[in-house]
Amino acid sequence: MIIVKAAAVLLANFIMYIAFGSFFCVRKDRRWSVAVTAAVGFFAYYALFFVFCLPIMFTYRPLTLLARIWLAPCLAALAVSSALFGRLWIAKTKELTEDFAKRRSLWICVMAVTMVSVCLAVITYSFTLDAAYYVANVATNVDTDMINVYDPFTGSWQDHFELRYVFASYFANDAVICRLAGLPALVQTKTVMSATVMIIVNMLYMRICGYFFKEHRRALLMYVFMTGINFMFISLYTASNFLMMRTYEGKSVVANISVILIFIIFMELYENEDAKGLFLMLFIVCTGTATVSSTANMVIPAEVFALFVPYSIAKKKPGILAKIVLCILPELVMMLVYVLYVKGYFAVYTFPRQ
Amino acid sequence: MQGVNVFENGIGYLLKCLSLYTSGTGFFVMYLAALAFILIKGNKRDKELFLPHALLLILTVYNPVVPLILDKIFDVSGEYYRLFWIAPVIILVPYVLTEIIFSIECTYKKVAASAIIAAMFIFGGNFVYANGIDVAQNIYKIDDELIEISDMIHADSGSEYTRAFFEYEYNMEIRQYDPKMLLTIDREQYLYAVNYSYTDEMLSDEDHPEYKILAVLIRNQNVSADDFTDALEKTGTRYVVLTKGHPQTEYVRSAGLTEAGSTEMHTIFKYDLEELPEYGLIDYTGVEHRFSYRRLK
Repeated sequence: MIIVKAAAVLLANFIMYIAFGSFFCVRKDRRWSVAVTAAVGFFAYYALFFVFCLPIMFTYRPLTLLARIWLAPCLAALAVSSALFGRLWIAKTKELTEDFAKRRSLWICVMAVTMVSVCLAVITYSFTLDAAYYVANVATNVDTDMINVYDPFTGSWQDHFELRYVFASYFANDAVICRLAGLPALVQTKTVMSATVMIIVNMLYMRICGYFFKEHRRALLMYVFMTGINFMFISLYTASNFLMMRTYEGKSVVANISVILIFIIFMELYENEDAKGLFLMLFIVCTGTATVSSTANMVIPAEVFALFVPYSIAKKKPGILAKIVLCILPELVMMLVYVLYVKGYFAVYTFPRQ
Repeated sequence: MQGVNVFENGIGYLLKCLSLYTSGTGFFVMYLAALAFILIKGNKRDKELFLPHALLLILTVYNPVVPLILDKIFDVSGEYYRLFWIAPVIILVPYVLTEIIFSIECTYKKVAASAIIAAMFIFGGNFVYANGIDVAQNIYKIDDELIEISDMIHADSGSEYTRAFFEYEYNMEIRQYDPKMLLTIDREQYLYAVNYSYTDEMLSDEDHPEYKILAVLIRNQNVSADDFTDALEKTGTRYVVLTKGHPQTEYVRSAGLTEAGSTEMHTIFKYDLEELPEYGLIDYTGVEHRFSYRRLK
């Protein structure tokens, strides 16, 4: 039964991501990528979740309340997105089916490699110290029906929120899903989210391969090399290690989805300077990433600067600089809040104080 | 990054960081080689996509001075390596390798190039499952035995929440599976005990009775049985789970703990607390739900 529920949540994840992502990526008059739509939708989903989560958490209301409230925007987004983009989704499905028929060997190989990667991420055991916080936090939130009020390490009540982690509401969402679907925390994190992340990463890889090579044998070979690097170049610290061994963690999302997706957005800007909505997509990705892991506060501004500043200088478009500052504003604000917290300037309590 | 910090290493921090990051693999060598390929053979698009980005990274992220500057604002020693994720190695290297293979027309040369690339991956890399694939025993991805221990303790305790001491791996994993199992020792305390001994001053610290438990059960230091049980009492620790053959097994027995159960590899010891602590959740009903913060400085 748990496996069936986990599979259903996995499917629901992608439906929600496509629904959320369609608002930013799907347009009648232009080609759109399912991979980019799902990945942007992933971050739109978490950015919106953050908006709902924070007020409920900081006023110490129960997780169940958040779970019930969160259903409303999800269902609304799904309904509106279906109404607006349903036909385009159907058209895309037909297009992909035709492409599958034409390039069967390519898609079968890609699906096989993705399947193996997902299976390995899901069935293997790996011990990490960080899971002692993240996964235990999900389990603790579900058990206590509160959000980040109890210490995941010991179960003791904390008088103030640990701000290093509370802005990363990614795991609060896991707790909400556990509450709604009745899944154990370990299954939601280490199975459902591991599979989700691994599938999105592989979809993005194929998008990149398709960008560089129209000819499918070349695209497939590039995809195999990308997977090969993930399997073969491992140290404790590489993005590949996080993808293969710590797939469900926020850091893995930053290293393997956000970084790649921002590069794709950059490639699309390079391809078509006048493409509309790219900076809105970038803003959503940056905002969503900031709510997934505090690692984003350092990595994302650096990547955005490294990609877009040389471009704006080379193309003599200073307006891009203002846009990218706006895009990374969430990271900069969160970094400032965090620095003030660790330097002891303020604390946010888990109980009303006079 | 474990064991490497900016303060101690100064300008050499970046190099040490890179060395740990690659761990002897050809990860960055491949990236540099791919950049060189793009510089020499790449088309306009490839050059514009990859080279300015790489140049800016070399000037910033890979500049040995930058971590020193950043460290003055906040401690980056542990996290600086994450900036290395920005280099698009996973995109550029496969792209270049594919270009190389398809640019060769002679079949023999193509096979030779493929063999060289395969060798580069095998000998220049580090396979993620080099030590074998450790398949999880169950859907929770924890030991079956830990589930068994959790069930035994809850059946024995008769209360919803109970506090216990576990050894390293189980201490980190039990609450991921069973949040009703409260722990005496948190992660940071445990990591400290793994690396350092406790001084007499620390052992006499009344505010931290858990130091005595860690000193006995992890550091194998001398602590009187009375002090040990007093620490269990003060921390409300009712169960101590030890691996069979743990060097302090006899000590724990002689301190008055009784065996509450055992599994294939572990023994569950129980301590009869003089007063059973009532572990419950904070009652938030009727509480004024308002944002509460305080400026401390």
